[in-house]
Amino acid sequence: MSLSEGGPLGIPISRAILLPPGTFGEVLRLALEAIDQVHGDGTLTEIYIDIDPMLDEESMYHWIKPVGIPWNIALRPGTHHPRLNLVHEVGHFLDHQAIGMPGTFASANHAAFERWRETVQTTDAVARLRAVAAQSRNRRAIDYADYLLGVEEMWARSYAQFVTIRSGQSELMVELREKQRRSSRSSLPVQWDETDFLPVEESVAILFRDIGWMR
Amino acid sequence: MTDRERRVTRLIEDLGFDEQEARFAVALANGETTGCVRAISLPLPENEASRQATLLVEHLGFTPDEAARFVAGDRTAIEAVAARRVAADVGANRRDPIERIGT
Repeated sequence: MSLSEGGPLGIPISRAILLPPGTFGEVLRLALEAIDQVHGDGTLTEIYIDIDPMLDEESMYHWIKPVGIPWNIALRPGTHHPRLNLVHEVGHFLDHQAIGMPGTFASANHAAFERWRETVQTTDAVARLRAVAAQSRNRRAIDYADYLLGVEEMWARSYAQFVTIRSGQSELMVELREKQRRSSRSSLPVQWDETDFLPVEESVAILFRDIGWMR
Repeated sequence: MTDRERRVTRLIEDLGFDEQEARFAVALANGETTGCVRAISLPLPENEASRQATLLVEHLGFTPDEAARFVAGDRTAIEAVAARRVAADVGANRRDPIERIGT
């Protein structure tokens, strides 16, 4: 099956993701429309998007321990990549709630992710991160590389890039291109360049077809 | 320039980070954040409890009493909420959105 045969199957994700009112909500709506263009899902509990000016991070997926139910996706206003950040956090939400057992991150161990897990490890971007983690003398760079090499984080970044590329949504593409430019200049790439990402893109497409979210 | 600012600047100049990323990396190394996925543990600290209890009522179907007990560490409060959510079909995106607007 070729990559061009993709398209959403199942229920639109946007029905479960409840945006805040106002201008920022409208900005974010484009990201949900992009997801809906690419894939659907099965049963999915609802989650609210909250705008939090006090958030230290750019964005955050919160869930309640130990019961494993989703709390919210929080976004800090005024960041450079609001739509890409939202798609990234939706990636965490789906990993935690929609694939495998709700309340656990499926990307780490679930069989459906096996091809993706193997593929992402072969990319140049991940090799560069591993090199920093193993060889840098800068403690902050090592910690950040270790963080970026976490399976859940690699999944969320893969998912965000997959949705962006497959939807072709122009604002998301602008945000991705900015991150790719930064990544190309850095020893700590957060997103993959086009060629490096191709096998990852295919592995995510296969995963979504296997679980019935894409044609 | 503070020590923290120097560290941020060094990450930008030496390793090509953008500013937000450099600030995040410094916070990560200082143990001030665990990243962009966070499990909320109970009981919540007082300064967070009220705000989060409000969110539980508004977003997750808790009653004010259940929310207050839950953020104070009483996990049994969630059992009634979970039962109501199951009864109401938590797979809400299965249903037609127009139907949901009316609920």
